[in-house]
Amino acid sequence: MTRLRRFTGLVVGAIVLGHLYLTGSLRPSPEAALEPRPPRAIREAAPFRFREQSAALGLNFEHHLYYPNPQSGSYLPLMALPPSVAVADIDDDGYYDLYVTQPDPRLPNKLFHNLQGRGFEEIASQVGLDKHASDPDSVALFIDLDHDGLVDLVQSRFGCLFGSPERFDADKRVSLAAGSPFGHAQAVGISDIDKNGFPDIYVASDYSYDALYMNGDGRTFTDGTEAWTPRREHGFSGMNVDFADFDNTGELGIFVLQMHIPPFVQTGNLLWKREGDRFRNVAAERGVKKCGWAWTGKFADFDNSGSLDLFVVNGKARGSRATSPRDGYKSFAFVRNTISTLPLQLRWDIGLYPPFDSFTMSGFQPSCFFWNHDGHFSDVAHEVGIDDLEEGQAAALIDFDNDGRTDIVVGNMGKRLLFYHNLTPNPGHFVGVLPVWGAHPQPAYGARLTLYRSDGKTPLRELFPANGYRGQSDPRVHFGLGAATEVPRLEVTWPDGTREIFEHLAVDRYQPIVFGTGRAP
Amino acid sequence: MSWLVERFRKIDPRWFVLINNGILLLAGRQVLGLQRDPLQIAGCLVTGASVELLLARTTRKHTAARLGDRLLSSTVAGLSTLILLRSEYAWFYALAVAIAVVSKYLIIDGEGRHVFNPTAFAIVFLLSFFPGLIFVRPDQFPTFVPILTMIIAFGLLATTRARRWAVSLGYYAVVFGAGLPLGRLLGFKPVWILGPELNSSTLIFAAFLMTDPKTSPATPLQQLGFGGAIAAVHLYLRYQQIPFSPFIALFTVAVLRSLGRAAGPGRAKAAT
Repeated sequence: MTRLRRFTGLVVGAIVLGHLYLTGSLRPSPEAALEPRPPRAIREAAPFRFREQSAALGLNFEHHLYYPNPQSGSYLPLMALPPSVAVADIDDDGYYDLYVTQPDPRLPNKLFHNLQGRGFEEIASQVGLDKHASDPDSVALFIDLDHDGLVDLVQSRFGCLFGSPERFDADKRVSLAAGSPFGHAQAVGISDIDKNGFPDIYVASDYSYDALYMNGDGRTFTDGTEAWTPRREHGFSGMNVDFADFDNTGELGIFVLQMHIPPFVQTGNLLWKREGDRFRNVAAERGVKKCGWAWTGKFADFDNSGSLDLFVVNGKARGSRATSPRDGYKSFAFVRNTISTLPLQLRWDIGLYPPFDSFTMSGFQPSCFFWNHDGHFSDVAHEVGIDDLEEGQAAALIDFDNDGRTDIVVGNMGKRLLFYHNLTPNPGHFVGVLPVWGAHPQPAYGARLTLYRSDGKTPLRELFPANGYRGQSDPRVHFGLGAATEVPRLEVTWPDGTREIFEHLAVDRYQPIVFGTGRAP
Repeated sequence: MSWLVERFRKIDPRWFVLINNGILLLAGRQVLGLQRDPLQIAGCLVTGASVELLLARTTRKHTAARLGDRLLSSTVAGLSTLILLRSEYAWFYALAVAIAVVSKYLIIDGEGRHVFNPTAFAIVFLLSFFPGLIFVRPDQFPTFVPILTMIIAFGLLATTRARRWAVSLGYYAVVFGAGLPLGRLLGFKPVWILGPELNSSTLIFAAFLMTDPKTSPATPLQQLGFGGAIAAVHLYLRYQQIPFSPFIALFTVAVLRSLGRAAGPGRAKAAT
């Protein structure tokens, strides 16, 4: 027995190392960055169809890789500033228009005017939006700043002061500190999580915990991060945050995108589901944990079935000589991790890094299109026609032809803007509404809308179309109805707390619902 | 002075590991954003102690050892697990420390000694069978000079007291003596070779894990060879872009050492 025991270490060691080698779990592979392919039956049953039609519709925009430091060299793809996309109806014609930022200050941004659902016409120069600035443009948002009924454009510029969540009073200014001095806040999302009538703030952070600031009474914020979302699950690579009632329960969940670069970075997306006074991360069990280096995620009911699906763009950078994901087999993520062990003073010296030309950093990743079927999400991007391998970072949703089928705009790094036209056959019915204030027809941002369906479900939507990273979507609130042809009841809680019921809404069209015109609940 | 030396000789080297790792855990949680919540910490330490005591009783190993000695052993394993691994799951650290402690009792050689450093075994075992649950992000302890200084100081104390300083010396001798020239031939800048050695995780590994008196050779010459072999395997794995390379290297060398001891019991006995 003792003689045999001498071989215990050898046998156990051989099993452990052999398994490690045979499974290849410590080798980078492009496939491992994504959720496993769903079974064939699910792939074939996916009802969606998209066709990329940017060129056919006149959306001619090509992002130019640009970074203010001319010494970026081969690292320009890694460091370049991404585009951003914003959607608004700039001329109030009922068709939504598109604005895209070009970070290179030598090139103009573009404003695409919607030709009543037939295509787009670029008109930036006609409305004075082709002016060049000395600093590169970063993120653009549409909002009516002066309540005159016309949308204005707010544009941030790289190199200017950057913002933090702040609140100003007549006599007091309240600033919210970031969760950690090491964090990089990547995206902000707003939602009234505790339904107390005041919007709360979620900050998705890279290199640190995310932060959740609960708005007590409009004057006081408290840090509710640990109480609502256990920090041990935070990924330290938060890129995007949005809110969605993905189970039609009347409760919004929180969706935070993360990097997933196995085996070097094993973080995954977080899908926080409300359970009592806390959230529980259900990303793995619902099938949305992995989508590479993910940047922007948007929920929508793309087939009007009554359940929210999810679109995610991903990918970081490819070197100028990289031609396929296999070029990144010797991964730059490993190099990056190696360099990040250096003292901070050395870490930022590009001269220490090997040339990036033949590397990729999560490059060539296919976007994810998660079909929500029976509460589980399956990535069917390839099957439904979303099959580009660009490094997409900005995305926005728009129903450009008002047919009730939500389309997708994607801003890529160093490549063309893509427009995925939703051509899903036989979609369900839908109801689309835009809650507006009576005095002027601008969106009532922060409104909460609950649809009371005949099947007892109560899907909830909030009007915060600019949540997340670099994409302001079509502000119209869209509910898929499946086979139902009437809307029993829609309850709106306006940002000032007023609640109203709207009935007899028209199906399969968009319509404004005006503050003060509903009935009291 | 001799009084001080005498006192030093009476200190169990594991205390230096425990203090170092305890400070890192505390500072990490309070200041450096280390994601360990009280449930994970308590679960890990309580599980480690429970499994340790249970196995000590059932296997009748360490029957002469005091309760405090067993708890010190399990706490060191628990703290090492807590600062070297990262996982979002509440139960993960409890599982990791349980694997570490079990390995000590069940994976033993013909002379009743455990083969693998418990923490290194747990890391490699989890990497092999649960790769999606675990990762070590090298920059989770930023490279702050005070942290590095502390690890080096406690590492010197622990390796001196345990008489295993030659293991670390052998490791760094190969990293500097072979890694740098070979790297130069392959076109790597010196900082790419040396940078990861400044990583807190690697320093903890080099100071405390591979110098484990129970699983490393006793004589200085063999220690030099042991440390050097770990460094050689580690550098090769790193060239192949294999993460967690120090831990896998230690595991691999322990397997090879086990093979040598199994093949030659006489030599193995002398070596230990």
